[in-house]
Amino acid sequence: MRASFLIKADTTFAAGLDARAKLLLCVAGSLAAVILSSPLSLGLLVALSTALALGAARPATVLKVYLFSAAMMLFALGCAAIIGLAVPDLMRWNVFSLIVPFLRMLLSVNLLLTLSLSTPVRELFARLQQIRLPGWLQIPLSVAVRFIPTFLEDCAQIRDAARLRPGGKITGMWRGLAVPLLFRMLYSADDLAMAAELKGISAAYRGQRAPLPALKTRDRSVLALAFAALCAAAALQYFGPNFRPLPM
Amino acid sequence: MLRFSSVTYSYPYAAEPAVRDVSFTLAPGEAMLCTGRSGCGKSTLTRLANGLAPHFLRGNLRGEARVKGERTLDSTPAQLAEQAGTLFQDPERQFFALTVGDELALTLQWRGWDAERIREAVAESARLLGVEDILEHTVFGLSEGQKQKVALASLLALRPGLLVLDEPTANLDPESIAELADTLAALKQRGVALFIVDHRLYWTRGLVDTVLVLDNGAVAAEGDFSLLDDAPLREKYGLRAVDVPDPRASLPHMPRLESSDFFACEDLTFAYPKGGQVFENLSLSFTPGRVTALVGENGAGKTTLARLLTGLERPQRGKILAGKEAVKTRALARHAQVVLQNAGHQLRMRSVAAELDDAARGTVPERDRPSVARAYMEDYGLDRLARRHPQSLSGGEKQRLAVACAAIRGPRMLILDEPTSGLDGENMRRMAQSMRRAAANGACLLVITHDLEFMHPVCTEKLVLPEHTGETRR
Repeated sequence: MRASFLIKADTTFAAGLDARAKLLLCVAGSLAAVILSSPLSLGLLVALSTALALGAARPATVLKVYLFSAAMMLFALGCAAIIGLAVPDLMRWNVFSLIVPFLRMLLSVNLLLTLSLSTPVRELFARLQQIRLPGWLQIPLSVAVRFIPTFLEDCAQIRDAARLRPGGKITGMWRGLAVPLLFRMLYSADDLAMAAELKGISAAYRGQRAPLPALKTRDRSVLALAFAALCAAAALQYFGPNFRPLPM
Repeated sequence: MLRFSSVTYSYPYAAEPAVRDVSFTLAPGEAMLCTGRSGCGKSTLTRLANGLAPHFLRGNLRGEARVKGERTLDSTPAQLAEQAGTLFQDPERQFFALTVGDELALTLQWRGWDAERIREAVAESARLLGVEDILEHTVFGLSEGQKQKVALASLLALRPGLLVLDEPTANLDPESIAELADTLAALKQRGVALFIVDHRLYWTRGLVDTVLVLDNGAVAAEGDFSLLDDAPLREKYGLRAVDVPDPRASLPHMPRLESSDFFACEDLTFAYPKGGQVFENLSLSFTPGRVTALVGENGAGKTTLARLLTGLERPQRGKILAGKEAVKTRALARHAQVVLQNAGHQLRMRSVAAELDDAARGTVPERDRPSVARAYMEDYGLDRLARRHPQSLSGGEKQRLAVACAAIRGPRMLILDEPTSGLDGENMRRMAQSMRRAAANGACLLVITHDLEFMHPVCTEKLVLPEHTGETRR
């Protein structure tokens, strides 16, 4: 299974990349999202990562994920605004303080989408095993990857259940989704962990590991391009225009 | 192959042991059935046999369990799995790969087998279970029976001497149950020991050598299968029947009505995006007070019909009528309710009483709600549980509460999707009673079920959906 079932195609550009290359891109992208703060640097990386995400998923799927991210961002802003009512000095709104976190989120989302929509779980497990990460990191990571489709399936069923008993108020809707989902996640996580244990996942990381195959030309080209993009983004950050906060 | 000696086990933070002083021996090539009420400790025995208890689940174990002579305490669950393969109630929950072939190979790959040995083991177990033709298929497109076989083949690839099966028939139709029984009989003949935990008993006649009846964590009765022929014993321990007639052929077809002023659908046409046509111009009229069994092969559209009638799917064409008036998809929940297979998804409040009160909101006047909720709790045998958190209830109790919550809204149509999957005899009979009560109160009930034992006394007629034709046979 892929880490997610949002698309069915296995013949995309991203599917042809080795899982290690995609994992490396995710790690590098996450670090860049933390370190970089220039809208230009982040914009460059977001543009390139969007091209990669579109190589893994349908535009409609990517758009849906962006909309979800935007909704989360708005929710966070709403919470910040409520805090701002109590502590006005804490909240100084400006355009860049909104754009930069959004770009950081998009960068991470693009790379995670690429990884989860184009990588068979078996390949991911095999690579995690081969790259010799410690077992305490690999086992939860592997089970977490397998958890994604189960979680999506649970979400769909709980959404259906909530529609059968309309809540009326926001609290009712919230309870109808949050309470069953919380319990279901706990049960599912337990089931999957038990299944993984019985399949011998812990033995996998103690046993002999197969040698890593060499990366293909396509992987090396993408990693080289990513490295160049990171260098360019860093250069833009330190030598590019200095953006002053714009008041809203 | 499997030996329990005075095993007593308590889960962490539990006041009482889940199983107490259990002793038995299972030799290679023997089969044992363990049955009893829900919550009597059957599943705990499977977890003790495969080492999840206490290695994974912690808790306190006294006495000892041995698999192939080795104490389970001395090996990890992963090591024990090489001797004792465990089949879960829902095999999909134990799949970690996309295709059947990958699923069969994954466990071996994780254990460091070389490629040639993996290929041989996969080919052999696939041949043994008859899944060699579907090795390239995705595991999620398989029927429940096929999933069961793939999960079994995956376990057998490790060539274990013992199979532990936790409610293997809970999601299977009668034909798949018969196939499973044949498969297990063949494995038994090859010397594999079988430890089967199940509520359904009839299919194990002729397969099992020993029956263990558990009650409140202890062995209440032990003997060969004829032990279960004792009706008072079955009644005492809440067991199901041992002889189950197949009512599917004898049930009358749902009468064809020109129209119904109660609940009906007219010219429903529906296809999933990128999928084939499921229904074309489907018209059905339902009568109050009837309990209709919705029958059909896997993929015939039983669940899709339930989703259409309750507004969870929007038809491309056609309409659904309540009292001769067309109802919009979004408003259908007022007239039709479905109790999903996993009842826990529908429960969201802090207590059983609050759950029923919340369900009645919008359909029962506010001042009457507490008394109506109390009456439903009594009717559905939930009054003792009024203050319990719904998510802490057993499977049977959750099912009953979900049915009560659907019924309290007074729907014209009440649909139940596999309401007795995993229920013991006592809870199954209670569920049957609840459904007859809902029908007597004037609702029309549509039941999607493979459970012949439940269908026989409850359903008054059948509606047959032939596979993929979009037609109905009535």
